[in-house]
Amino acid sequence: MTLQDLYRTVILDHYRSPRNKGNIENPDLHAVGKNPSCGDELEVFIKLDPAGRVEDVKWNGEGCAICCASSSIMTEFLNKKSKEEIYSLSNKVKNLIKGNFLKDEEKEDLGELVVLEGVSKFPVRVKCATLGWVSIEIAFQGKQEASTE
Amino acid sequence: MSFLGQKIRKRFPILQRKIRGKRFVYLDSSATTQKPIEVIEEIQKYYLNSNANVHRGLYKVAEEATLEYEASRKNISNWFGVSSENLIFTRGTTESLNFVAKSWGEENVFEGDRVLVPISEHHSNYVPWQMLCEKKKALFVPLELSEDQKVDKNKLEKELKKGASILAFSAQGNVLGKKEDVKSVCNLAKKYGTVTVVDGAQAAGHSKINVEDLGCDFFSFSGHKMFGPMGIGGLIVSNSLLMDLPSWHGGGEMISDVQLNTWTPALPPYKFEAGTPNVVGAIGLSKAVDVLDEFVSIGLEEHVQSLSEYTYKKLQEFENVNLLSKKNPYGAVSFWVNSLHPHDLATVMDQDGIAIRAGHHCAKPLHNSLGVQSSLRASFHAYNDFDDIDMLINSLKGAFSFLL
Repeated sequence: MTLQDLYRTVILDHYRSPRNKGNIENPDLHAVGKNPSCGDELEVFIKLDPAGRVEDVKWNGEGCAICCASSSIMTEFLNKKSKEEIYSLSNKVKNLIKGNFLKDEEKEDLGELVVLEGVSKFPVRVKCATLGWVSIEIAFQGKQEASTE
Repeated sequence: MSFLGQKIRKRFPILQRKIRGKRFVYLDSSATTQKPIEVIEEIQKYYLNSNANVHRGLYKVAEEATLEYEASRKNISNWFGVSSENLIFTRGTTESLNFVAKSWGEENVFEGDRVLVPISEHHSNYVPWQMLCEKKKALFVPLELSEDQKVDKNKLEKELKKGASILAFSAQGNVLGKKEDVKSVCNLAKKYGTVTVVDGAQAAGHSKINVEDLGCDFFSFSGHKMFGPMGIGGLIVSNSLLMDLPSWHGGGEMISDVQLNTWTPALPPYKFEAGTPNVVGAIGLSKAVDVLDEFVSIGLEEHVQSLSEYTYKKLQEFENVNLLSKKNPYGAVSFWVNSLHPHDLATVMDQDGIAIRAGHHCAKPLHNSLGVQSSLRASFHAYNDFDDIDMLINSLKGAFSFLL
């Protein structure tokens, strides 16, 4: 995959028209994620249903195209998922982005998220792509601040 | 017509490399300079012929290693216009500054004292002072910059009048590319009895600096930013503070005597250099200083100045490009682009073989004060030429058409 492919397939689409960007008033869960090496910062907001599943999720902040697009895509995959389901998904996505081995069935679980695999070819950008996911995990742990380092 | 740039590029082997089939355009010399073949060969020669521990062995090779090591100290201290005993070898600027904060700072800074640091300092000349102030309950005072983005002497004098233990500042900025008027700032501080710590990380690799003439108390520098190897640098201490400066690390080499319950320090500079030193680093740096001396004598400063001005002018032609430096940067040109993140631009430019820095360049307080999250920085040295900058500008145009 070339850089052009990576950006063209998905990143620029989500960067230019981000999904679920904004804040949620009185969220059940909230965290700020930081990437210390570049200063990127983003917030995630989650509203849970009575069963503890995600009812609404939003992200906000400024970052590079890969960071913003990855967060935007992420929010499209969290609806109605429980904490455990999100942890499991997040782990797979992080492994995918880092270029770690994933079994075929694990890749199937990821569905459209496999487009993020291209980031693994650009190791210095891995932290950009994982920031949203790390922030969601931290929010579910009840902490306020996440960092990629 | 410059005698540098393309004319000396072949002396830097890494610059012959191809990146994805394209010429390697290195525009990150503020982070570290590339190494000339002379320095690489000197390092190799040491390991092939002279490797032994210094100041210990009584055999031929150990004697040679010791002589070479001390000859290097002499050559480097000469270059900076000071005596050998005033030059303490360290790992680099960051270690030198931490050393001053720990050694001089912890003995001489007390509760309620004030430490002055311009907001434009990079983290290595910022965090050690924050740490010192936390530990000693002293007051860390960030200094706002003047209109021309340098140390504001009026504000500085106001702060000095209130009393300050230390003023720590850079001779040359790594983001704004401003050359400080070091001598006059040091003179001003001296008037009020404030100790001056000069961060020479950027400046030392660009000109011949006579440290004694600057009139500072401490001067720190990094070898790897002046064509030398990584892991070697130095701290130059003025005569007035040298003898009373407490040792830092304990160990071999830094003592004159050790008894069952007591120890006696060696004389400077050895009392500050515990353990086996970075001998090959010092030897490599000594050779680097010779190369730098040659480049300075054939117009290094003018060369870097004209590259900086050309870049600044070319970038000003873009409507969507914002420059961090108000005018005339030297050595480094930092900028940001409307609605495009520096990381995306740097990744796209890397596809063209261009190495450029993206982020906050270890100067977060400065970026915050400018209201900019992060930026791109192109920085230059002897081996850069106008062809590099044309490549940068073309690549930037390509990136715009792709990302926007």
